[in-house]
Amino acid sequence: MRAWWLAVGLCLAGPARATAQVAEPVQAFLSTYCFECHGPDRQKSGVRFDDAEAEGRVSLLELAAELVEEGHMPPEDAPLHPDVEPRALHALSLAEAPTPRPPLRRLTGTELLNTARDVFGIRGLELPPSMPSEPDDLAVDTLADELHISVAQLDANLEFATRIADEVVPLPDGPRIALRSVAATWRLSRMAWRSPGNPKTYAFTGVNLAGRSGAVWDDDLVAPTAGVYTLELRVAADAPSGDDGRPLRLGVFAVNPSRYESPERAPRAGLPLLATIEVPGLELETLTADIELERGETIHVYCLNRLAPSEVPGDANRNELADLVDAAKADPAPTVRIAHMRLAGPVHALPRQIVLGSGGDKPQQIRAALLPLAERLFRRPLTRAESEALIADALEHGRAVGHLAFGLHRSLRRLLCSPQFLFLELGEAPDHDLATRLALFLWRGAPDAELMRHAAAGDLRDPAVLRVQVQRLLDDARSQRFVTALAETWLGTRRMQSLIVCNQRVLWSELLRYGYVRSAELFLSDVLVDDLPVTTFIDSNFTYASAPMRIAWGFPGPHPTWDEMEDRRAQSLTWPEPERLDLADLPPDVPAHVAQRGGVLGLPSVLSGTGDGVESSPILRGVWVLEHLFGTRPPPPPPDVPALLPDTSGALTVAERLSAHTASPSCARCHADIDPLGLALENFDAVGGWRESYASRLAPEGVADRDAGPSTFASDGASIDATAVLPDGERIDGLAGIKRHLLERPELFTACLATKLLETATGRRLEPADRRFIDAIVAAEPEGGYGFRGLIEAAVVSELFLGAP
Amino acid sequence: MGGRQKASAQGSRVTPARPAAKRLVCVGTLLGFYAPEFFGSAADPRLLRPLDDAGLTARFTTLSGLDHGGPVGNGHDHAQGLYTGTVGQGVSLDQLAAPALGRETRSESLQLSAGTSQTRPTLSFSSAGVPMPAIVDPAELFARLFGGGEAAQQRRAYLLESGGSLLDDLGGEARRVAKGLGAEDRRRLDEYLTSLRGLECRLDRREAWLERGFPEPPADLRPPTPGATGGSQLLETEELMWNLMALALQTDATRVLSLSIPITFRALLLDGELMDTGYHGLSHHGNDPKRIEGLLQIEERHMRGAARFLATLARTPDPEGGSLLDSTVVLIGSGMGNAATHQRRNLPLLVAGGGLRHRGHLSCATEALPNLRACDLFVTVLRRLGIEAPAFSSSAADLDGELT
Repeated sequence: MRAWWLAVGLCLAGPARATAQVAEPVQAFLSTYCFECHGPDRQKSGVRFDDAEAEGRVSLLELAAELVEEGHMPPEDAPLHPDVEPRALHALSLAEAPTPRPPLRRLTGTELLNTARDVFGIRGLELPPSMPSEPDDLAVDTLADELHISVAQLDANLEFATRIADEVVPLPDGPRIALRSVAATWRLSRMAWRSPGNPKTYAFTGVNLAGRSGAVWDDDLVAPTAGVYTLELRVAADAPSGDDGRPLRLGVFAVNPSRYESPERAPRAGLPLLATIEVPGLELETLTADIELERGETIHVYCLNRLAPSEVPGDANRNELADLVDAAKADPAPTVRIAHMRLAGPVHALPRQIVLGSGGDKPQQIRAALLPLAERLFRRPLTRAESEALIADALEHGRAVGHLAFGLHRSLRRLLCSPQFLFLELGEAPDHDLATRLALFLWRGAPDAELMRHAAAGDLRDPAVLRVQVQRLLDDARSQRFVTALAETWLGTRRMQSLIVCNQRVLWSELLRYGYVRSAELFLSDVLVDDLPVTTFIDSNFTYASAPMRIAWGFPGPHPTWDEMEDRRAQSLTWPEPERLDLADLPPDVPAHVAQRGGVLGLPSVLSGTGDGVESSPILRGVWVLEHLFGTRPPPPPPDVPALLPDTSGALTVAERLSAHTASPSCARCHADIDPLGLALENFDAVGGWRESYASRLAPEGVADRDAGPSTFASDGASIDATAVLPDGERIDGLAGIKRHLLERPELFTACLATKLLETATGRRLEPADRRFIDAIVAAEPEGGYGFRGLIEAAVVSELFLGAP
Repeated sequence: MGGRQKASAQGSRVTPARPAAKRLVCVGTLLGFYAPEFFGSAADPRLLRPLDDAGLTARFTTLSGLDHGGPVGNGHDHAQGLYTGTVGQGVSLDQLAAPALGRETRSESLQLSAGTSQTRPTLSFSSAGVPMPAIVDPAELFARLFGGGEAAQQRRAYLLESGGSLLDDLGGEARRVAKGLGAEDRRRLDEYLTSLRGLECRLDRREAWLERGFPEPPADLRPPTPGATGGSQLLETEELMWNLMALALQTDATRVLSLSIPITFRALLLDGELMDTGYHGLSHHGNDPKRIEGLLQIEERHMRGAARFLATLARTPDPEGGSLLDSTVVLIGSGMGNAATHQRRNLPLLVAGGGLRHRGHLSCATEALPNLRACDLFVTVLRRLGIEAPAFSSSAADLDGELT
């Protein structure tokens, strides 16, 4: 199988950055054994070895060495049958190959957004809709050769820069942008009820689920601009303390109503807490708090400690909510009473906003505001000349337009569109490039102050320092972005999000889509956080499944119907979250296939990613397994091959139709590897559901009754045979067979994962000449194998990641 | 047969030698059209009645027997390629024509979708094969056509002017940075430099257009409420989009439009009532008459919108003579031949206006016209627009002889 990796290497080698001086003995060797077919006279397969200065030389020689090693070269019918010594060729060809340097590339959309969020701290910042989306099926999303930059891209980027500048430098009053000041008084949601005996006040129930049942909600005020607003409350407490023995207190949360179908029911979990207000007094008094709102946000106010938070279920539906509220009203627990609420502002700017005071030293104000931002955006210190030019520019433009804020606004836009911000690996400051590379790899965002300090001190290349930094970055919450991104490119969650699934053909609900995406992320996150062995990806004794997924997988009932679950989701505004499922200890009546769901191949997002939402594709699945687990990459099929008809209703089974591949030697070359792996997974339908035979036609009339589960779908087609024979003659039976095959060869997967991590981290496809670095990582495997964090660490300290200093 | 045949005889009287058409409108549903009531070859097809009722009988042709060839598979996934003619990502017809047709208008082209959808709601793909984001909110389209207020325009003028000058600065910056780079990295930075220059041209163009000011919206037109574009409001959103598209052409804001009528699994609001079954569910009608009826009610709305749009163009004079409809090619169809079975064969296609020789219905998978592809129609459309096109995407021939 290894030969595939090489065959692709040949296709992708392209112009290499490294041309090695080929030592004399190599050329003599080649001349003796290879020139006959690959020399000045003949160039079989377009390959020639006579030009020692040719581009891509090292990769070509590496490839040749490996082909000889594997016994593929020289061919059986070659005129010469020499007793070649491939290792010599290896060593000689690589003797002078330089360490490659990561190429210049632009930030991906995700990295752009994360970096901007990290630097400016603007809550709810998003990319503009005009930003061209990147393809949803990339196996590596950071490749320099695929991250093009177009006019449309730059146009969207300028729009993004303008949006950020607006948020950071409020432009002064005038014809262009005026700061509107607004004020609004309160409105009550169902949380509060008229106090018995005092009709002029209202009482908080203390049910902290959502606006509908827990908050004072004011939808008349949406902050027209980011800023600090003043909240004024006239409130009294029933008692000196609440459920937790501390004074009763109110929590003020930020909500962006445009993000919710029903903003008044926005779930409180995840909303930013802006202020906590203690209500100590038993008589009505006026309390105020400063509230920092982003543009477009409003507030929800809850009583935080009337009732213990544990009493609040996460996904209550409308009726259950009403019951909860009634029960809360009937509860004698003391509460907070409110007579009036007013929100007004903005009274002044947010700390992250730059407001130029009148008078004072203007150039000094500009310098203090702009230079720290510029350093974070460039991800390196500015030279003296750069700083001076930046300040001079801002001052000049500000004076020309009439207010220095305009100078800052334009300078920010310029920084956010500059090559130093949009591109990495500019080579201007190699240690800072390394810090950026590391932060983008593990956080998909900007390097923080500590990384910048190490870059400035010049000790980031020290493996001991680097290892500590890797673990620190992985411990940080921002490493969840690494998990999300890896799930998108490796485990198919990005494709899953936009996949159009035909619910008339496979069992489907949007509840499943959410579960499929989250279960992959949670699985990956567990392996990272708990530093589980990398073989966990091949097989594991746990996986994640949400309630709808368990129903789809045939867990014994009783279950709610799909409609009931959809209804619950719509009312609670929360999606059923997957939970960890112990596969070694399943309930007795669970179908046998569920026990196989460990490892990435059991994840529905992986099984769906290669299908089209209607049919599974055994070929694309086979290719996926080869590429993402075995680490080999079959070349694309020749252009004139007709696609196999997906119609499975004929007399032939899928396996029989795929056998057409073996009839032609040129097809068999690749398909002998691909097809068995795909066929072994045929028990999984287009979205990873279990099946024992093919649905032979579209579901008949009356399929609207989805509640009956998968059996509703016509399954009178051929039954499925998931046994297949690998090229080496090994017989595999279904998913378990693939796993066993891989677990017997763990180094294949370790090399594959290390390759994937390093390709993502460096932004380039690895070439055959880079194989030595991967081999070194595999060879350095500790006793008992790599943990996931250990492998990440090994990748980062590898020369491939560090690049030539 | 009778009524429609007569229509085609009438249509053929249009003189073929006319000045080239200069506008293109590409409309597509992602869930097909119910074929037995779509093609003009049927007796009084229900989906063409709105066009006939609007007096447009002689102004359009339906075409059967055309598709893009290629693999079958999930029709949903491929239906977005209606105007690209490929399964992969190629340029769409509207985007191919836009640079030639859009030189003199504020927007070279506009991409629209009748509301939001889970899937990328666009039928337009750039020359690089990148899906072009569509305007999903009629309120946003309204602002694009009529300016959106004095303060907004002043702000835009400032941003364009200062934006142009900062791009200029960045060009110098990039050239300085490039000096330290190797050949390959420099090539990548060159892409950035080229894009900078392209963006400068775009901003110049926007600035010139901003200075010219915006047209006044018609007095009787209420600006649409922003944000009301959820899945169940597809038909309301679609109606607004059709109306605003007519205004876009009447005010010459653009000459190239695409409108996608997206997939939704939700039940639609029909005259204020929520239907029983979701739009996608109805498209899988399984020959159940009740479901077909529901589907046809939705598709009738699509065609009523089209009829209103075409009739408006037909009664608006083109300053250079004839009506707007005579100088506008309008394509309506779907990349899905039969959504009930996910078939991508025999796509429903209709071409209207543009000074083509209309003939009611053209049957293409026949002995007289064998082996034709949908892209053959698109080649003829391009030529009618004065764009020299030896071929387009999966085309093998053309329909010049039939339609011009």
